[in-house]
Amino acid sequence: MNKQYIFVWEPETQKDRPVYNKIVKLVNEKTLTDRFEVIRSPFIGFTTNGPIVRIMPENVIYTKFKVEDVEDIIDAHLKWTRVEKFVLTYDNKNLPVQEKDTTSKQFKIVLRNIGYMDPESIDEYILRGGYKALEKTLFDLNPDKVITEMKASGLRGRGGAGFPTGLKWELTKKEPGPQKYVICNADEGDPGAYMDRSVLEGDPHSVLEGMIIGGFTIGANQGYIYIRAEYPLAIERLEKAISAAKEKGLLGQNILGTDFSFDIELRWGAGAFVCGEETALIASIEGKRGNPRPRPPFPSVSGLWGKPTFINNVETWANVPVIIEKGGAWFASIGTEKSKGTKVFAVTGKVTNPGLVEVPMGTTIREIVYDICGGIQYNKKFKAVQTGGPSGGVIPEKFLDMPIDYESLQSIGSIMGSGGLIVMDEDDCMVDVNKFYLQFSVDESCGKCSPCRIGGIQILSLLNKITKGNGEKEDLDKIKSISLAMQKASLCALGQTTPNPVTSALLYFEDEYMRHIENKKCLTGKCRDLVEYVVITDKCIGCGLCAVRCPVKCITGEKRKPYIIDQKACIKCGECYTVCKFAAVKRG
Amino acid sequence: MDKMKKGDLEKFRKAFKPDHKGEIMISMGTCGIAAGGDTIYKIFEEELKSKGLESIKLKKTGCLGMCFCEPNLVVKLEGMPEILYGNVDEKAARSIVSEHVIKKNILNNYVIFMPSKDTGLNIFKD
Repeated sequence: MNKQYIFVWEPETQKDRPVYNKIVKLVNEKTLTDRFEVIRSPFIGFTTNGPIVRIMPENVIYTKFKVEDVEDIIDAHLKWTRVEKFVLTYDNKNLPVQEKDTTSKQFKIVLRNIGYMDPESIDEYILRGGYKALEKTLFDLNPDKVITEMKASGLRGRGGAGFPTGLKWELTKKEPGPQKYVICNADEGDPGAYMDRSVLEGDPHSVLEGMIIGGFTIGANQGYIYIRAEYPLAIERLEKAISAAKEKGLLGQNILGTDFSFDIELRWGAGAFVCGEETALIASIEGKRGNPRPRPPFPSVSGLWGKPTFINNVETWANVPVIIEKGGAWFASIGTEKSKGTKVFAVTGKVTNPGLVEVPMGTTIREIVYDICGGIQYNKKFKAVQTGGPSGGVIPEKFLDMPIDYESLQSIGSIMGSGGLIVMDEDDCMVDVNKFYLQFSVDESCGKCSPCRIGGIQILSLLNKITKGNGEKEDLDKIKSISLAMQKASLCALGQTTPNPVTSALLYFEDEYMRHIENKKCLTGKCRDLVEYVVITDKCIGCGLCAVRCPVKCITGEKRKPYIIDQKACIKCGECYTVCKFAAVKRG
Repeated sequence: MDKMKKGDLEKFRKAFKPDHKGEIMISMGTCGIAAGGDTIYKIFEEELKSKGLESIKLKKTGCLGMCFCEPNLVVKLEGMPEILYGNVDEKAARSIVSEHVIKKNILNNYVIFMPSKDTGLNIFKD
């Protein structure tokens, strides 16, 4: 008799675990311990308000049932049947019917192999269907057919700008040869983003395969991967992957016995954010200072060493083998009307289960933050998410249910970006967050063009002024006009997008800015000059915990009498506010 | 090694026969290593060797995406469902070998179950 496994997940509010206990009791009463094994699972891939039960090997998931219904479920599974009315089905109209996964909101294309195979073993990649697309390209397709498939797929550049990839392939192929180059942009620099690193560390061959196919299509025989030196493990695994592919004849001279040769080399970036911009990246590979230059000419016409250059992001390359193998139409069936396929997001910040998720385009932020990542930490209130890192904007609560794609994010003042998704809760101050991003962009500005070099630092100094309590109403107008100048006149995307976090915050959180300027108050306590911690005498029972925990010992008082905070000595760390069990410390 | 020619990839896939009865896959991207994945890897290496479990293959893999419960690992044994363990410390690693691998008892307290891990679309599966 085969053994069945029952996985039980219950929300944290149900501390006494009624469903788990009931199942264990039933299994014991019916002496079925040899048949069923009951496992308490702290995370089952998604969360709901009620308990979730999953039974293997049948792989049936139950939700929305009551404790009384458990017996029916067990009895049904004893007879190898199921109780249909509680079985979870998840209908995502974006997914092709035959491949619909009823248990997960995620859809893994780019992350298809990660976690299933050893990234240092080329054999495992081949066993999982790797290099099948390359073989198909070399023997069954020609460059024009590849481009047709790429255009049909509707894939758009995953680096952030969303340029149609198929069109880029066509434009680069049209340029006269003989020398062309293929580049993979692995200079991932957004704070909080690590999608590309995870792909390179977990599945380096998928990127190599994509690049080889790209080289064959446009007629190039040299590729470069521009990767940050801060990713030593990714570099190590890529180097292993390249030499393994060369040994097998999948890279290098006469690939798979054909007369097509293609080589890939690594180029290390020294960690300059601007080198993620394609013209600066190309300059850096050439050995020059990583400065951007005006476009046109675009790299597809005149790129590396003045030759036509084909540059795509890691995630874009990793999509290529799948599109070739499954066909452009298959890929185009996933996602929204204008944005096809899936997107990998690195969800970080104040979320219960941070991590990497890959969802079809058109998934809402609520599904990502609440259903997949388990909601906001410690049941706090959602404030906003920042997409696109320092080049993107904030998305407030009212857009939680908006399907994500390139256009929808642009329409609300943010961008898709490379896929960093930073979740903020009620304790985060928008001005403080903006200051952080501005500081980042100012540090990373290359200094070549004046709007970026001067504009960034001016906005930053205005933000500093506001958080110090010296803000004036006119400062917001100044910020807006500097932002406009930067957006219009900067040379490259870095300068054009530097003001984005601030402009989008002013769109949705202007009241918070005004509170900093007019009332000189920061309700979250992040701007230390604008906050005061005061003991509410009515509520204080005089336990003295705050006085014990205060790092500068500026809280004094007698036991069982209200304590007093010495405002002059207070360093505004907020420890008293956090430790008080009686909400007797007021922040504001 | 001979260079591969047309059709060799498929031949290799068909001819491949796994030489092990189970695998333990430890997430070892930068995030996993930072959380202590490499220490856990060494413990498994040592435990499997000392208990003579050569038929169990120990593997490194990339970031599963579940960074909130790292170090995490997957145990795949014949006749048992794939189990994902999270927040694995030294003690848990040793008990996974002695309890799960040898006695086939699942360690309740460390199970993190992710449906998409085993049923999730493997788009290369026929």
